[in-house]
Amino acid sequence: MSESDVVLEVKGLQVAFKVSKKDTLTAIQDVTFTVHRGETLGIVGESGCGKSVTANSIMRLLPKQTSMITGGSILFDGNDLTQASEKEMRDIRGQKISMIFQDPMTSLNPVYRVGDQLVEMYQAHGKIDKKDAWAKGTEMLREVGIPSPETRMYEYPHEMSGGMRQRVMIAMALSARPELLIADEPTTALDVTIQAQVLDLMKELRSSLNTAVMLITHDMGVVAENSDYVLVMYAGEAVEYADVKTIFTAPRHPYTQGLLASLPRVDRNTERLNTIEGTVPSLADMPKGCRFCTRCPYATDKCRQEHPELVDVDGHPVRCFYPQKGER
Amino acid sequence: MDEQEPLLRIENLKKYFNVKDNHKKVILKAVDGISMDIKAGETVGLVGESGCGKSTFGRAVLQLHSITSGKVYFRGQDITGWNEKELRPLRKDMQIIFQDPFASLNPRKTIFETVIAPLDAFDIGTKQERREKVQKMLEFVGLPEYQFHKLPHEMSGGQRQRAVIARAMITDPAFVVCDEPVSALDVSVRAQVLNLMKDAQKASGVSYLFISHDMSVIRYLCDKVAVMYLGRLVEYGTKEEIFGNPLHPYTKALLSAIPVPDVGAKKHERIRLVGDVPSPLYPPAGCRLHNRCPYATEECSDEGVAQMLKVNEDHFVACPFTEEFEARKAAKESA
Repeated sequence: MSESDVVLEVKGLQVAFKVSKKDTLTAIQDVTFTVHRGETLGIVGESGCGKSVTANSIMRLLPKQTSMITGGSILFDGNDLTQASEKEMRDIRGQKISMIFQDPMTSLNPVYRVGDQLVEMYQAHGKIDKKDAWAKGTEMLREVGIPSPETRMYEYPHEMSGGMRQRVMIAMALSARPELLIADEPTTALDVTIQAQVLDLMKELRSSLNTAVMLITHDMGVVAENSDYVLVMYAGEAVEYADVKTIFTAPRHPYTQGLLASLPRVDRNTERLNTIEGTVPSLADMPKGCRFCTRCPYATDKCRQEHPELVDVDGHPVRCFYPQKGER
Repeated sequence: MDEQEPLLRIENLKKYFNVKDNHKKVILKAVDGISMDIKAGETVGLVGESGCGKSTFGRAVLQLHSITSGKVYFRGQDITGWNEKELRPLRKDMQIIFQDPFASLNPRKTIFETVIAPLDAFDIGTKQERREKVQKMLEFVGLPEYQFHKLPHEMSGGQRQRAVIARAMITDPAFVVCDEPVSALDVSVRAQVLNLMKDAQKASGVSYLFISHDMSVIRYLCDKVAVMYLGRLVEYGTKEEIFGNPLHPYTKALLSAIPVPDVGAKKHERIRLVGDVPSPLYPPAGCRLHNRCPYATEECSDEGVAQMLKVNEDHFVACPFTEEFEARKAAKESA
């Protein structure tokens, strides 16, 4: 993979939230990864681990009054997005980086027809008259597999099913042929058979448009089948980052291992699930050392006292003093 | 009770709702003729996509909905249409666990108060015995003593669901409907709660009707599996049969749609359904899947095509063409 194929490079990203006049809490720290053209990076972790904060900081969509990027850089096309002005961001959002969210109903305007929203988007991004924009929108809906797009253009979001609405969102996100698509739990609200359809569609479009994709999800299965690289996050930190095969066949971080062992499987019988004891600590009450030490079966005093850095283990970064051998 | 007698027998259960669509009266057939037996100590999984009527079925079995037609026998006794007063003594034997533990706990009661409430209500044991029982139950579900007097908002989602399980189990029920009990939980906590439910069953011999949309959870917990689509069962059988030899195109599609957390895993035969689930207000005639099924023929829209057929003692399927599909598939592969 050559250097020029790098679309996005995030280094040591740190984001803090204001919780009162004086106090701030560090929501995510030391998040590092790269996304290459035509590749999918899966970001997995449980709720509250900072997946969406990471995505929103790339788009610079975090609320300004209560949050700030306190460290690190986000290099996109050679520009550091943490330093970009609001005007520069406006040119990037939707044009070069697009985003789709979990719930398409809240992302679409309920009082405008789908066609009008597509037209508005085309007109916002370039000089185009309404008739051409409408035709372009119809074409885009056809491309994402919506049957009879001519009539669908006249419908309101509530007249469509969840899967259909997510297809509309994908159509909007990809219409400007962005270099990077950020998909934040795109199929979590959908039924499994519809999820399969939408994921297939995203795969097809990714390879035909050569877009880079950041796929954020809590579902290890979705990641396994749809990503090239995987970043595992826990309590606001990147804990392991490797290609998909390594993560699923030879994970080294105890959290990654625990997570995989706690999944019920549809393709085999399981007598008893392994569990990770306890729950994720709250941001205000993070352990001093490793953030996973309260739940880790291998934790020692060192883990409780010192904070581990990402270190190279067998060719991929792992945040652990005692990386475990784990053949699965 | 006779050994062979099922704990619960459900015969041709139907639950229709009268609804309005564009000011027009329409009948919504949420559950349209479902039969099943649930034996003591057994877990039956009911799987299907949103809006297929799984929750309505679960509630109808417990008589929380008035049933349109059909029968429900509990320990051989026909309890269909009983009123609240008649049902009350049975309530402690039949419990329910919902998906969202926050919504099903009283926000102003501590966990201890919540869990002791059923014992007070049914006047079980002396005051001292009740307290001891609750203490034991809470420790069993993994809530240590310092958590006893917490309010629901002070607990995590997993802990709340443990409390809800404790409340359902405290009266030693024979049967519990579990309506998506782990869908709102994170992966690592979900495994804890699933194991807890397995342990509770081992300890008390309770039967579960486990409602879920997630085939992998069903496979982990259930002995029998019922696959539901638009108000009807499409396939029913033991776990070994349903996962080892799925026959109905819908079951196959559900299985192949689930992403497996492994690379290079051997997958079920890949079937993609086309389009969306039709509105349950206007389900297609004949086999309700026929407009999405990749194998559908003209006959599939004939009424009566989707009768439950017996494959063997442990396996029933509502599709007469499964053998034909296999033959066609084999022909395609050899070609």
